[in-house]
Amino acid sequence: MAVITMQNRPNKAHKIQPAPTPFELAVLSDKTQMDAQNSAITTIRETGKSRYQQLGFPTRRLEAWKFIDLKALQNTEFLPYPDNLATVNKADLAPYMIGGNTNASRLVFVNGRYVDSLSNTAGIPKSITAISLMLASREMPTELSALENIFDATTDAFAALNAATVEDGVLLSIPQQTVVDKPIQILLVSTGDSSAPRMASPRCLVELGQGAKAELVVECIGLGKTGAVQPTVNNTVIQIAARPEAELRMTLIQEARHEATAYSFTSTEAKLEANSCLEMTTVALRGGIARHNVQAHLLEEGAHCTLNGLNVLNGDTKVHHHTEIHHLAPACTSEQVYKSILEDQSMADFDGTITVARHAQKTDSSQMNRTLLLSEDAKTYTRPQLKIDADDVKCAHGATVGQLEEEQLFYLVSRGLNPEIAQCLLTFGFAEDVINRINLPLVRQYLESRVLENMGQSHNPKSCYASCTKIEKSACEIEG
Amino acid sequence: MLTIQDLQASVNDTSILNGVNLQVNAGEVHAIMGPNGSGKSTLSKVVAGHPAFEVTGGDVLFEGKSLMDLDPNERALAGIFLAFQYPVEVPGVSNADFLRLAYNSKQVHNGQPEIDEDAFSDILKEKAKIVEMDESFINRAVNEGFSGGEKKRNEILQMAVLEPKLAILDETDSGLDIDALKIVSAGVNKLKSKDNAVVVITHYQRLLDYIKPDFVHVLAGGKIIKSGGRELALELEEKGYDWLLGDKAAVGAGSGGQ
Ligand SMILES: Nc1ncnc2c1ncn2[C@@H]1O[C@H](COP(=O)(O)OP(=O)(O)O)[C@@H](O)[C@H]1O
Ligand SMILES: [Mg+2]
Repeated sequence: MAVITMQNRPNKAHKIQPAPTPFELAVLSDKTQMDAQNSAITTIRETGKSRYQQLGFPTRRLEAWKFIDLKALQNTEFLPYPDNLATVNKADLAPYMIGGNTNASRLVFVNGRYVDSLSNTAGIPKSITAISLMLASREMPTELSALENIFDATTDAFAALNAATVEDGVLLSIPQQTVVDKPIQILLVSTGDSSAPRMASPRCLVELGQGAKAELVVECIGLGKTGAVQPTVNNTVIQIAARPEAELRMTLIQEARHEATAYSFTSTEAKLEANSCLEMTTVALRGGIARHNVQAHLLEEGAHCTLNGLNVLNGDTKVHHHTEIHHLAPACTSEQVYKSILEDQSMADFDGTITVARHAQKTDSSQMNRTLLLSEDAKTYTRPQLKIDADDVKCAHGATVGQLEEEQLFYLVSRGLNPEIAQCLLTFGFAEDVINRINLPLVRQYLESRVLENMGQSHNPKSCYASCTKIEKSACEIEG
Repeated sequence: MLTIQDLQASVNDTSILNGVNLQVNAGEVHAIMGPNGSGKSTLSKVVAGHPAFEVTGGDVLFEGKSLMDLDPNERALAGIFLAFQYPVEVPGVSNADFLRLAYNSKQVHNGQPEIDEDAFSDILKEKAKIVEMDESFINRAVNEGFSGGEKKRNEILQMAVLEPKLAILDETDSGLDIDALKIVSAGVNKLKSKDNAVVVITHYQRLLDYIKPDFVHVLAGGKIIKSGGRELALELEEKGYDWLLGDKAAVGAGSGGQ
């Protein structure tokens, strides 16, 4: 199949540089002074800046940005957060404690900067490097630069912008053969501001040595402090380098509770070496305009990558998923299941490309995108693209859009469930089907509760079942 | 218990049931046989209340009350259970959760207290033994990735949990090997009593060696064209349906044919 796409290529029309937009003028002006010791971060910024200048602001003519309206963003001057703006306290983070455990391993960033007092690193084994990018830049600049150099120049304009404006982030390095069996949580919190539009640009570098295994929960959370009425951008980059036989399981949760317009961009790039494995689940919940870009490079034989996704959206939330899986070596496997539950006027867009290089024989790849529309005003777009240059490959893809299936509903009600409960159960089951694919029960349960919190009352099995039985009970009482 | 009177039903304006009459009393076992496409599954789904089928004439009474005004869940709560010919897969919904909700719906309906997860788990384990079903199936998504035989066992497990007054088993024996067949029929027999009734839809006499019917009916062209005792099943096994169908054989299913 020949697919001509323009995605991620600098738009030719932009060779003649248009005048910088208010957005670009604001974010690319050098307001933050980096101290001289932070040479590694300074290098990241300079590289990012020149890369952004090559790529230019993404227009909707680019396939990968087709359904995203960034006009309002382009005309807004987003500024870095001032030093000690918002105080986030432990109580604010209570909803984000996995398993309700305040002592679990956690690195907390507020508005793009590491906050030690909210973090908890005591449980992280000593052999693991888990430090802020700022500190890494000062104390281990050679390692930091080496890790950065694994990644090619990004093709994503917002990833380049992240580099150009980065202040802090995390460097997480798991040595070879080290197994971390408890999840490490990285909370990237943004607060918004009352005085100006703000942008945060946290950057996460993750390296797994040969045979290392780890489980990460990364969350991009708009806390939505009251009074923070100005728009926000949370522009995150995650870079993953997996050495042979390494395994990373990662759940990326994004949610914006801001009062004002919130843009959440994440850009995840993974380099997977021989027989390594990345299992990533991206979960988008309520609020704002979000774009999740995941690019996985299966570099060596036997690498595997699972990219799953779940949108549980309501209100005006708009979420875009752009995935690229590049099969660059023989006998690599990849799987994708993206599902959306859309209420109100929400919108979800899935644009997933699989490329198979000429010598990547015995590739096995599947992709599925399913959407449940719970309202007439909700919208979805799905654009699978296969670009296959090898001949001995298995690639399957498909998409479904619709309401709950009548046969499933009938099956449940034929066992005595009332129709409202049956609908709740099926709707939550639609999401649960993605959650069930996550390895750790602890993370599954955490996600279940986060998803339930985001589901409207009428689709929520817990509240629905309670109220349904109550209604029946009172009916019984009247009869009796 | 169940009285079907001159029942006519259609789907998308094609008539499928053309006047079915059947009387099932408590304590009885009935077998319904008949060629493919003759309307057996349709009959069972109409009794269970499937919305795709429109009842265009006649009536179905359960314990003297017409079912026509009852929703499918109300029919289930009244004590009707259908083991589907093709049980549906329900990804993301666990067998245990689903069955507990169904069980508790019944408890509430009967004015009994609802029971919690732990108490239900004990009941479920006990019932799973009846169909010799591995406990690991209990927490899996409903029917998802189950083999044909496992799906059929899961239907009987549900029946064991819900203890219906009337069970309609639609080709529960199809796709079962002989061991599974014995287990499933032993399960059905264990649940049989003088107060409830079973209707088995089947193509094979061999099931009727295990679940012994009091009456055998032949459904063809959307009508019951012959009824008899157990020996009718043996006769059908030997001679097929042609001798009964006569000219109707050419007509096939439904009045519209296909
Ligand atoms: N949902 C449906 N839509 C259209 N036709 C149907 C539907 N269900 C059953 N039919 C038709 O009705 C007839 C009887 O089918 P069914 O009751 O499944 O027969 P049996 O179970 O005896 O094999 C067949 O011709 C079948 O194609
Ligand atoms: Mg049938």
